[in-house]
Amino acid sequence: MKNFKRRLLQLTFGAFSGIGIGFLTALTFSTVFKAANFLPSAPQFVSHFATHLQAIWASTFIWATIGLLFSGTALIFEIEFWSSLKQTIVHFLISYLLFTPLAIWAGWFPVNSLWLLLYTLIFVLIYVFFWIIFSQSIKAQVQQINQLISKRSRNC
Amino acid sequence: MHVKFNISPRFSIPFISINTKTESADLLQLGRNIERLISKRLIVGQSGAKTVPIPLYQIIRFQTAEKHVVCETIEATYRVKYRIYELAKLLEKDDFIQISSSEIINLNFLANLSASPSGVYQVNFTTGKHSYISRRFMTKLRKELLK
Repeated sequence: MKNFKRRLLQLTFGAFSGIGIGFLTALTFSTVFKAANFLPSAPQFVSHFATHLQAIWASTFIWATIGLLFSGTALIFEIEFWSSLKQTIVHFLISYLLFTPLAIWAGWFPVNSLWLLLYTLIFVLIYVFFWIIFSQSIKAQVQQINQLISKRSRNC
Repeated sequence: MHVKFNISPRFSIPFISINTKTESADLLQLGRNIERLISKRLIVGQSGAKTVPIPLYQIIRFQTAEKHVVCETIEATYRVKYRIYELAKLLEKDDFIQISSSEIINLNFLANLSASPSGVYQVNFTTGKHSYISRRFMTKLRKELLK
C-alpha cells in the first residue's frame, strides 16, 4: 500500500512536471517568436481547434501525458535484476514508441521521412550519451567499492 | 604475541584480556576478531530433520531459495525460519549487509565487486562463488564500508 501510494505520488508529480515544463517551453517559444498570444504548440496544431482555449487544454493534456510517460518509464530502472543496458534499451523502446505519436500530434515536427529520421537519430544519440555516462559511473562505483573492500580487509 | 593462561579460582567466569602499553588499531581489531570468534551469536538452521546452531561468523550469506530462506556456510546450507527483511533488521549491527531483496551477505566473505559490460554488478566471494547486487543496495554497501 505504501509502495502504491509512493508510485501514485511519483506519477502525479510526473504529470504536473510535464505540464510545468511544457508550459514554460511554450511560453519561451511564444516570447522568442514574438507571438501576439500565448502559443501552446505549433500554429498548425493550434489551428485544429475551434478556440485558443481548447488548444491550450489539448496541449496541457499532451504535456501531462508526456510527464506521466517519463515518470512511469523511470520505474524500469527499479527492476532489480535487469542489467543497466537492458533497462536503458527497454526504456528507449517504450519512450520512443509512446512519445513519438504525442510529438507528432502536438505538431512538434512535420511528418515526413527526413524529419522522422532526424528525430529518431537525436533520440538514439541522447540514449547513447546517457548509456556512456551510465557505464562510466558503474565502473567508477565498482572501483571505489573495491578500494573500500581492500581497506577493510587490511584492517581485519 | 605471547599467549598466557592466568588460572585462579577467582575467575568464576573465564574472560580474555589483552595486556598492552598502548592501544593500537591492530590490537583493537584483534579484540574484535576474538570477540567474533567466541561470539555466542548463533542462528538456528535446519538441515533435514536436524536442528543446528550456526555461529554468525561462519555464515557466508542468507538467500531466498525456492520460497525458503537458507543460510550458506562453507560446509553446508541450512534452512532458517526468518524472512530476509527480518534478518536484515536482526543483523544490521553485525557484519552483514543486504545486497538485494532476496539476499544478505557476510562482509567478511566479500572479495570484490565486478561489473559486466551490460552493467550488472557482481559480488565475488572469497569462496570463489558469486552473486549479484542490485543498484538500490549499492549505496548502502558503500555507506557500510565507509563506517
